[in-house]
Amino acid sequence: MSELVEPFFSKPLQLLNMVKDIQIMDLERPDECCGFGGTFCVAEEAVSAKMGKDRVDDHVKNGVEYITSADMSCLHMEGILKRRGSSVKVLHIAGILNT
Amino acid sequence: MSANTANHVELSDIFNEDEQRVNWHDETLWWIRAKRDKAAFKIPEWELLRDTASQIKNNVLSDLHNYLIEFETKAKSNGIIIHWAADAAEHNKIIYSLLLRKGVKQMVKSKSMLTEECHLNEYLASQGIEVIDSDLGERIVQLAEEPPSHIVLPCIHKKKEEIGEIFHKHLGTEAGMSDLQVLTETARIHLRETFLNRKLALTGVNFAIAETGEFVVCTNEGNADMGAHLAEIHIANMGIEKLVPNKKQLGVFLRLLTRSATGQPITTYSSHFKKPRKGQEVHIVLVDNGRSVQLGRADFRNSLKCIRCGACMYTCPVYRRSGGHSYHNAKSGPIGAILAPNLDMKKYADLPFACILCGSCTHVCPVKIDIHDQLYKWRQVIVKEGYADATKTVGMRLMNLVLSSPKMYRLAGKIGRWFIQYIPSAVNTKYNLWFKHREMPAPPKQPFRDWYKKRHCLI
Repeated sequence: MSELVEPFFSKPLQLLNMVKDIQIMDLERPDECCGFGGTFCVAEEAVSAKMGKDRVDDHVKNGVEYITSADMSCLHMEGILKRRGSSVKVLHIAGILNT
Repeated sequence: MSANTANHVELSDIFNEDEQRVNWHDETLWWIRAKRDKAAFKIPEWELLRDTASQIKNNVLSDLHNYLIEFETKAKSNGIIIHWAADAAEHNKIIYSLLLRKGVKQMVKSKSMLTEECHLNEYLASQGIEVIDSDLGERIVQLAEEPPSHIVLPCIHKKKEEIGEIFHKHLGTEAGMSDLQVLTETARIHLRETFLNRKLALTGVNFAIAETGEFVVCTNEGNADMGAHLAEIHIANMGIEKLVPNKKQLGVFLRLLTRSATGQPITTYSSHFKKPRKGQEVHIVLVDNGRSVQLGRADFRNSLKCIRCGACMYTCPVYRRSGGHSYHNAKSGPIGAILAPNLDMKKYADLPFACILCGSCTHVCPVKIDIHDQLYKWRQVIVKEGYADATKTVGMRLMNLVLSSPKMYRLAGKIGRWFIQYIPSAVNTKYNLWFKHREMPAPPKQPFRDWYKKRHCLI
């Protein structure tokens, strides 16, 4: 919630910081929405795809090898990455925490 | 496409055809969000300010009747003439009658979203009155014959080269001129002439103070002041919710408004109008136009706290990638999506769905309107009233069937995975909207449920 003038806190980040041997990369827009949304992903397909594309670009630009999320957005971003043949992989956070 | 069939999905589809332009639009608006963040983070008590403003506005809405009467009494005792308009049509008629009475055929107007809401310009044009918008952004879209796309930055959707073309066509600048200094100078000269000649000026109202009967107009250009001080008649129009109880509380709002709108500490001009100068008439038109109906909606009355900063728009990732015009309403973006359905639920049924409920709008709102909660609630109302998209209604009913039965859900999963694995051409088609820009998800070796059961020795 980068809009709020409050000390920064992210529960998923706190959990990931407890995992060995991973490095968390910074993004240009830390909490911009990826655009999956639910039925939005097909109901407003043009905007959803564009948002996903931009979100993925932010990660790729910052040297990310794995994108992770705590919801179904991973499907949306993975779909976009696979479409462009990218080597960036996507993992649900449960998959990382379960290792 | 006629205005009646305009909807956000189709309009934003068109907007997204030019990806470079979408990138430019998105980055331009994000830059303002970044400026706003810088300004807000300079004030350690920012969240307290937001909370205070929110509570003041809650108080105003809870006693609107009495505050309005107080305001009217005080303003009248200061020599201001008060008019009440129940709806847009009455608002337009009142203003026209004032013009008629004085035989005025030309009017200068500073920014007023209320006039957009009431379609005043079109009405007056049909009565033979010429209206010049003095806010530079508004003037540009007026010359371009377009509606504004953002409530604070009306022509943010136009690049300076395009503005240069508009000025070349209408104001005689050189073709291809896009130098900002030259364009601004041209606009100044053009508008100066307007200010000097117009007998009647219309301004909006940012805040009206019940305690003193005065009203405050905030501009960066001073165009409201130019117009008002040179005119014989100054008309100020305002929605009835624009009140603040007393002068001391105004400071809270002035600290929040411009930081939220553009990231500036304050607008160049924050002008207080209290008494007409000698020989001048000042009129205030107080407009309802659906506000009292909205006030009666418990879930949505908070939307009336809005101080029209526009922050919800530039922070909204959907707005940035679809543009103000795809909301086919003067009040676009998140706040437009919760105000417009109150006025015409059928016409604006698409707006609350043009949203991923990320909540950024709620977090930037200086008066803490629960915008994304209201967007969600409007969806329930719209569907119940039967204005939801037909395809979506059928789709949702089907989803409900599948998701409410564990057996159906497992079966649907099995069928889906089978198709993706063995007959991918059935899903990888242009009829599958998902497939337009994304690959389908790979079918897992086994569903999570089975993996979990095995793992925990439940099978």
